[in-house]
Amino acid sequence: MAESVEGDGPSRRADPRSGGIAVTRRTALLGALAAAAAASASGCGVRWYPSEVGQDERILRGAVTAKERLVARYRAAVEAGEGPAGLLESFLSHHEEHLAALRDRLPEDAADGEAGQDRGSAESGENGAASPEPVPEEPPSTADLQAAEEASAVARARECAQVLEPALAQLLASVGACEIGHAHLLAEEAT
Amino acid sequence: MTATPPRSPAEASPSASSDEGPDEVSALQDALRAAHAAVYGYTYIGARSKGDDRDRAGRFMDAHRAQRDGLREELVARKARPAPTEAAYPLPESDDPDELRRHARSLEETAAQSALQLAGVPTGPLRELAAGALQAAVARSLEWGGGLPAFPGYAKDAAPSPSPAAEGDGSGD
Repeated sequence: MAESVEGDGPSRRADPRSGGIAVTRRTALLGALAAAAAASASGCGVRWYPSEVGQDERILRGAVTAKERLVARYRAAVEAGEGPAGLLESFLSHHEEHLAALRDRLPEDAADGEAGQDRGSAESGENGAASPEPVPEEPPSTADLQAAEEASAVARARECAQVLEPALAQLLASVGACEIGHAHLLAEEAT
Repeated sequence: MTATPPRSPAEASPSASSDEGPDEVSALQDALRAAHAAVYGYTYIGARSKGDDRDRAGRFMDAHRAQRDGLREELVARKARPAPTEAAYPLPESDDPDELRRHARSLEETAAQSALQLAGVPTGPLRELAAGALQAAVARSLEWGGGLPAFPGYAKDAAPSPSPAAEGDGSGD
């Protein structure tokens, strides 16, 4: 006796094309997963995760990409000549130092400027998930920069807890502290 | 005169960390000693300040007290005996407001160094605590008129990428 249940729950029904018991959505999904896992294990087909990139490198690439965006935003602000010029130039210098320090920790074969844009991420998403391309910026306001600094500081603190290497954790903690300092001073400037 | 850092700046710098990072209990004890010194120092500063400085000293003393209590709990949770308060700590050379502010900045610099050291321990939650403590120390130092280096918490000669640009931005005391 054939039975049919719509939806995602377990169901079996006769398949008029094969004459046997048709697979449900769940069994189909499990089958697909098993097939893909087998393909991956055999060295061909779909890779589920970019396993060649370690946790620290993935997080570091994300931090580099986020920092590249922040540098781009500051450059746009400085070039526009709006806001507290001396402060913004000083902060831009800090961010460029951060970027250099973070890039220094990337593997040698990925330390050029493009490497971080291939697999990185930004604060807007989890590591490795966001669009890495620095987009052309409208000159951000001081309030925009303050918000960006605060978000960056939160991200650096989170990354500090996630990486494995102690020295990298300390670097991320320090960079985040500088960013919160920027936010603090930008807030003072706004008042 | 400034408060004695829990360890020398070089030792507190991340460059001195081993591959495994600093020992958890040791890093927590250093952070606790820095918190003790800060509570003591702010008690002194608050009693000799007026107006905004007095209010600020009170708020920051409360922050360091909370930090101290949290660090004690972390140590007790690790079956370690928290470092006790010393009988006395270094104090400002005078009660001049500028000197009191300078001393406050030195307290925060010490707190920042110990927080950075703690950020290198293996445990994620402790690192988060450390990162937050470092950020808070930087913000407090700025409120006392301190400068902002590119890499807060590191000793000047141990920053990841020292450059002339970092020296000319008003950083340091």
